[in-house]
Amino acid sequence: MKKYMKRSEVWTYGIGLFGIALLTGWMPDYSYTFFNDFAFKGTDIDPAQIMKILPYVTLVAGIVGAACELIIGILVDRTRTKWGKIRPWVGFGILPLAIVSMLVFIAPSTNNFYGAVAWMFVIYALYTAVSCAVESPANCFGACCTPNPTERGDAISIASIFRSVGQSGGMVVLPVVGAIMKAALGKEQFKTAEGQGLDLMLSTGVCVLGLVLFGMIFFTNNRERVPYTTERVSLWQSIKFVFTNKNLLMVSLTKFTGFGRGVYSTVSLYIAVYMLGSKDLKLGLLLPMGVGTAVGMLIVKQLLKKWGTRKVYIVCCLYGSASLAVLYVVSRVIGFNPDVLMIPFLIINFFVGLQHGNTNLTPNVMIADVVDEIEWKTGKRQEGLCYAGYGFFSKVAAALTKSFGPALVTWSGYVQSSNMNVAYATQSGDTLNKLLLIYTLIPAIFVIGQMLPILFYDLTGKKKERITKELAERRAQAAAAEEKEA
Amino acid sequence: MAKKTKKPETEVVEKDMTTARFDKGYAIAAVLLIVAFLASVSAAYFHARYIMFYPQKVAEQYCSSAVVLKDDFNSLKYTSLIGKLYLGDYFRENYIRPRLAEGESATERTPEEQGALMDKMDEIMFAYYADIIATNTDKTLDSVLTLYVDKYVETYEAVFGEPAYASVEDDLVTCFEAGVSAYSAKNALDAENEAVEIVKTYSDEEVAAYRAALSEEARDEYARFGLSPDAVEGVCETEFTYTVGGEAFAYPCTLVKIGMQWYVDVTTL
Repeated sequence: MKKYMKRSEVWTYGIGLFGIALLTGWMPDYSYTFFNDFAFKGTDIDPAQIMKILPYVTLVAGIVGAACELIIGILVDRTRTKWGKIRPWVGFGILPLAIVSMLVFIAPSTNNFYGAVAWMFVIYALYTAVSCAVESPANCFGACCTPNPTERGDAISIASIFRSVGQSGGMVVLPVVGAIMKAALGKEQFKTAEGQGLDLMLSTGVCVLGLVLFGMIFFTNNRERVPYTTERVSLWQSIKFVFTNKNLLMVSLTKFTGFGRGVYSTVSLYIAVYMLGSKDLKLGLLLPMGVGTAVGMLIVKQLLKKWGTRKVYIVCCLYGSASLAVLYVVSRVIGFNPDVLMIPFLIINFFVGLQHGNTNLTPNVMIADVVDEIEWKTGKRQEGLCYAGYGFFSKVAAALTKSFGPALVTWSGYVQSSNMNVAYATQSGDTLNKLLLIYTLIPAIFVIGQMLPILFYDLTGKKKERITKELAERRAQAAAAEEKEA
Repeated sequence: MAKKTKKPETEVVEKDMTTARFDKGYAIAAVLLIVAFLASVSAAYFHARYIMFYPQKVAEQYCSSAVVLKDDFNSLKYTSLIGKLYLGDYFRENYIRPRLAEGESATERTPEEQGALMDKMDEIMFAYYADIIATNTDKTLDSVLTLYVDKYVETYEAVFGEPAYASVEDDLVTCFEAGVSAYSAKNALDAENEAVEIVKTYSDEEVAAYRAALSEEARDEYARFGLSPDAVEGVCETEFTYTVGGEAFAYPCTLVKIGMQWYVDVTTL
């Protein structure tokens, strides 16, 4: 089958997603820290009151984000311009996103508590809405960059790896900015600046610059190549569509049925302290997991060419669940002795990380296939809405994970230290076992849970080939008809 | 040798370039616009928030810390001592590390056992810090830190039954900082109406005269902290005023400008 994309386009799509993820990966955690610790420092506003309000700020932003996913999806599908339907959202949305993101870290000088709270609600909800207007369309660009499914799979795979790297980019930006500030101001003076959150503000500036620079490389070099349909779809039809299309619903449901697989991160610090012997080894846990994710994506990219999406997803979930079970069993057999357990734990932890390559990549390829299926069935091409539906479920699942993790820590019977000189109190054997369960077997159950909807996903093999072939024929006929008319 | 087979050339469909010229122009304009926006917003915000650019704010922080909160150690973070030095490193390298023993402890303790012993250390050292401040008339940084570390090492051996090894360094710093905080919490003034006024800003000639008039002792102190008197580009006199129980007090404070930043001149304290 002929190829549509130039090699550079595959890479610039990845570079664009890297730039967007660099900022959107940075913002949630660091804006929270900024609001909590620095924004109103030195004013008459009580920091304890700000801390109480912050969960509501993130809750409202979460609701705005979930609603925007659907609204933006509908708007994307209604967009008709000479730039295409997705590119203008990314290209022209980047500037407002850059400005609003920067404004999140520019706190007003006020002593008025209500004014401060209003500012936090407005600016963060605004950021969530604008970031949604850029990130969601950018994520669904893969579905229309080429009509060739193999080429599309490659482009989405590479872009997903770039996006995954970009999401952690902020962790590199912050120390680099810190090092530059230390060299320019002096070490002690840097601490004074850090105490005002100025390093966060400058790091945001770097991420914003990355967003604009990389985003513009994508905007100028990439094109949409799948012709879009011109029928308008009503809001009700759109929402109904997200919840009634079987394959789309199944892919989206994986987020919902697997929401608990992310709870391991809630206890990763405790695992580092009690199983590995030092809280500094939390990085030792997360780094192999991150490297495993990147390696996993490369493996999954190759597997997708041989097996197809459904089989890859199921096999990877079984692998992920089994690797977590192995980690649990090995830890129990060795016992909670950090000196002996540390090395085998970290090695198996790397292999556990490989499964994340699947969950970061395969659903995006599946949704691109679903977009084709819907066009084949209805004649309407709705990339925006399909990815929005998936994004909506992702946001709901993320909210569930956030509350489920702390609930499990309470269930474990974890005892906090009340001694100022003891950071982490000694835990009972039962608690240590439960912490290990939260890190391994409980996520393993949810990994199986996220696999279940995919058992009903049927866009594979001959059906997929037939859809691709018939769509190509239809588009060729449509193009010929257009030429005739012209 | 087997010939390398050439990959069959793929047919690449050319892009529709109708918007290409606009896209490039727009991208360049967007990048330039954002660079200008980031530069101006960051500079303005940084300048407004970073206190070391303003003598009045530096004097306010210093006096509030040293005079009102009685936190002599942390107030040094606003003095010319830190022009080239990192206070924490200075403390560790010159006072702590030379006093700690080589090797490591072989004793295994549970976190609770370790915590109980450290509680005991805190109790003794908090009291000792207060004692140094109250009784040591020659209250220089050097004498306070030397006395404190000597006492810590001696007490550690008594409480833990083993020498204070290098691994104790962080515990010592934590104990010292906690002691300073505890002293501050107990002895801080209940001050009101705190204000700082710039009394005099020196002219270039007066700055030159200030540099020339520095005593040998002051020059030695500058050298000890890695500074040259020639680095002083500006001088400013301020007065910190406050009231305690209705009674008014004033505290003069001289600041020097090194590079773009202002510091309380450590040689005038």
